[in-house]
Amino acid sequence: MLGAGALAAGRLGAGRLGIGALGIEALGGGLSLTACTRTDSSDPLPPDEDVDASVDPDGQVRAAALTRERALLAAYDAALLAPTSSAGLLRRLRAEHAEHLAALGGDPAASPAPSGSPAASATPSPSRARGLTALRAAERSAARGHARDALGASRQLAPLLASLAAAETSHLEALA
Amino acid sequence: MSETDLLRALVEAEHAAIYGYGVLGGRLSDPLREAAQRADDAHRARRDQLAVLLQARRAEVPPTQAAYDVAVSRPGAALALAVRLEEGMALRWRDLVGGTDDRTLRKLGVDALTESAVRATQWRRALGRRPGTVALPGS
Repeated sequence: MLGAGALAAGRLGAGRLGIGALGIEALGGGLSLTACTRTDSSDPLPPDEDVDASVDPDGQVRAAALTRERALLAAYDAALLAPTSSAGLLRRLRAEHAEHLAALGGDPAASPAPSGSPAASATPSPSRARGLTALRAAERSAARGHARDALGASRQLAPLLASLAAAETSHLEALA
Repeated sequence: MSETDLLRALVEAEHAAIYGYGVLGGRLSDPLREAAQRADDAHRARRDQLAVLLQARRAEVPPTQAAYDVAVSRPGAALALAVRLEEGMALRWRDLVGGTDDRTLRKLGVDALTESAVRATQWRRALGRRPGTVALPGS
């Protein structure tokens, strides 16, 4: 897809480049990458996932988001049980869902990553295609739920739900 | 930050993103150049949408600057700039989501954050990064 020049320049991919490194400091106020109202939606939460609605106004919304993330983790675990040439990709995407769970205040230890990897097969099988299709559907469904709930959540939780919706939708690119 | 201030900051960022895409698109070959053009179009549409929202609030719409200091010499640098532009927009859209209770503005923020995150993923993948996603876009 890329020309040779682009491939050579692909080395730039290592690390995150600052705007300054690209010589566009004067993108000015417009693109200062520091947001001015950082709402920290990853405030420390009790490790207990039994969120108490009387303490957390987002209790139900947070619980629903946790349920969606646990369902995604389970879907990836199921996909990883079958021999697949996509195991590396699936494990990396699964790790992002584990981060989502933690950001929501969930206990990652409650959903341990599968130990050991099933023997990877270099040959795509019909079950691989089915597995990716199921994962895409699961990601789409979770993205819709996160996006919907972001509209009514508190100002503290809404940005996190928005990021989760964006992340699940981005995963569709990697699972295409 | 007030909703108006958030919207103004978004317009300023969209101006810069549009300028950036205009420059970086010229350093790419198809089909990436076409992808850059589509991204440019999307950012123009968002900028115009934001301008309408500001006008409805009788607030001044920030003008575009005459020029932005953008230097992109190689395709790889162009792609890296595209990633940074989308990451910068994602930050600001996420700020809008957390800075308003208005469901229409919330939805705008969620949709636009998602679109920027998807484009950032596509540009990272064009740079050869796999899977090219980040766990929490805009944060």
